[in-house]
Amino acid sequence: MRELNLSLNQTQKVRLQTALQELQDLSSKVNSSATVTVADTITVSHEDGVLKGHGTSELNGEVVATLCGVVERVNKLVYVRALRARYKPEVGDIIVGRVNEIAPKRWRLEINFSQDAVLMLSSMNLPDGIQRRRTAIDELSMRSIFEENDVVCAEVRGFQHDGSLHLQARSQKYGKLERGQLLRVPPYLVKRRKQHFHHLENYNVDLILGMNGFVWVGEHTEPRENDLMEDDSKTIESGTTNSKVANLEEHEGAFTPLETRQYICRIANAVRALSVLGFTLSIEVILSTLEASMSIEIKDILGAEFCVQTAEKEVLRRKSLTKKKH
Amino acid sequence: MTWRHDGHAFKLNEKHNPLNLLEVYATLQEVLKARFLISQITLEIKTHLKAINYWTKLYKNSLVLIMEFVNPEGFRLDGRRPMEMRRLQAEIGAVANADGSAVFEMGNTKVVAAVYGPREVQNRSQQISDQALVRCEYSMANFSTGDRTRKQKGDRRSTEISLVIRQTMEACILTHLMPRSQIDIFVQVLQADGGTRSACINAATLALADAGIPMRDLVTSCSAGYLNSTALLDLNYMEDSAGGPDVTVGVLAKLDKVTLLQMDAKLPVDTFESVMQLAIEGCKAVAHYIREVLLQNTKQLEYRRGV
Repeated sequence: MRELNLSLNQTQKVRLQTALQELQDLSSKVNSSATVTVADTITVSHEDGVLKGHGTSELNGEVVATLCGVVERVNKLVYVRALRARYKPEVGDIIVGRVNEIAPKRWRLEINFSQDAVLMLSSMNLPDGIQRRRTAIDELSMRSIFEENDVVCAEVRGFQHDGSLHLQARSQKYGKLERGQLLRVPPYLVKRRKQHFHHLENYNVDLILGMNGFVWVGEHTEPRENDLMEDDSKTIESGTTNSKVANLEEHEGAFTPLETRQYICRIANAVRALSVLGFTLSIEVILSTLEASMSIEIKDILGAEFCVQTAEKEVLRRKSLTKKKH
Repeated sequence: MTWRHDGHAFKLNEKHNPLNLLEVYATLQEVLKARFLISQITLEIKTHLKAINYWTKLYKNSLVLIMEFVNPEGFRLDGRRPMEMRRLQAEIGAVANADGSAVFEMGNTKVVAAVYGPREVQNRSQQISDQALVRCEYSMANFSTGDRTRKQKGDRRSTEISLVIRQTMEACILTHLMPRSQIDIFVQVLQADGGTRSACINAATLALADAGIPMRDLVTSCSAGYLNSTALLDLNYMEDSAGGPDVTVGVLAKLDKVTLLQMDAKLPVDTFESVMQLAIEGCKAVAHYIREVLLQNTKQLEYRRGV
């Protein structure tokens, strides 16, 4: 079992096995979809005509899979949806990445894709919030926006004609992420949804489920809409009062309360436990796992007992879902 | 008395008295010690020789001792039949941080493979604009062999095997789908008992499939040899070090194409064909097993993920 080095005792082993077995039965009821491995033939009816999509190739008139995954059919299109693979970007996806390198007028971000993504300075909102041409001075002060190893949230803008992937961060909700944890999970566990930014109000925590499998858990920050005005007021203040006091205030603002830190760790561990078990990371599942974990210590979330319980709960949840459908 | 390098026979010089068997056995004992790492020779030499299937023959006035790799009952040293493979065992997902990884065992040979990528090319000058760069690194753990030797990283043997594995895998990866990126394959031998390069290729195939890298077909590999006028499938260390021919074949199972063929001895053409055919049959058996493992793994991932 991948990444799961749990020291299960005999009962836990049996419980986990039954839970997983039930999951298997449930999913086979819903869709007995064709799983294929590399070089398996995909059965198609040639009379209707076939469009070969991703993960397929043609060999002696047969459609053959080139990936391990699930065969999906949309009208004439036949493609293989790979499970464990790197992220495949689509325009409009919300992603979290880490700055690898600063190049002229652009940042290069590691986003779990086959190449680094490019975030142009011109596709960024400037910190002063004014729309204007980017000058050489802006270019020189790029490090004041993002430095190397900063975690950044952005949106996929599209592929350039040379094949490179471009990002954009033209909204206040995008930008640098601070005071939190970055988790890396397999991208197939994150589903494309309307909402990828989640503000967990009870815990004062922001959760960003990046489509590329990078999950951000951090302290909640309000999107700063009027940065400019704040800056103005600050300069006036610092003009009148002692600058040391202003510094102190800033420090206080930078302080994350212990409680919030604990919640961040708790949520992060819940996400880790779910990803280790290979369950889809939807906000509902994460929240229910989080609530279930409230009675135990943070470190025990990654322990054997809680993982088994999570698996059992997932079985119940999926069962109730299938019941509703019928 | 001399040790003949080409085969598995000991030949006496004229000087020696062929009838002085004790002397012969004593020398033989030393050679055996060095050659096959048999550390404990305690019993009477004769019985010991019998135990490891040596027999003596008087040939042209000299005493020749020939190692018997297939006994009259038709069993090999480790109890297999000539056309029998060792037990296969594979596990996917052994390295947590890799994009794909696998452990592959063939009998006592155990290999771990990890695949990283496709990812950004580390050395920009190596970047290829229309296809992916495939790199491979082979290494042997210090504890993998019987005698613990400190091997430096870039020795000739491992460089050669790295190259062999790289070329074999490159032939099956659809590199044109991942331009300007690089794929790193790391294979390490944890236990060496013959057929390490076959095991490495099989492990790398599994790891690549696990990493979701598009491939033309599954490459599998198996070795075969020819000892005591018998074709033997999947040689172990003892048979490998006998000095006979060792044919390693890599095959694209579905396409029926050979991507790797290595042999480090001479063999008549007709015999070679039968040995190679045997190795190909072995490859197909491996492919069948690997397919089962992959299918099981994919199914598991899918049902766990849910709808």
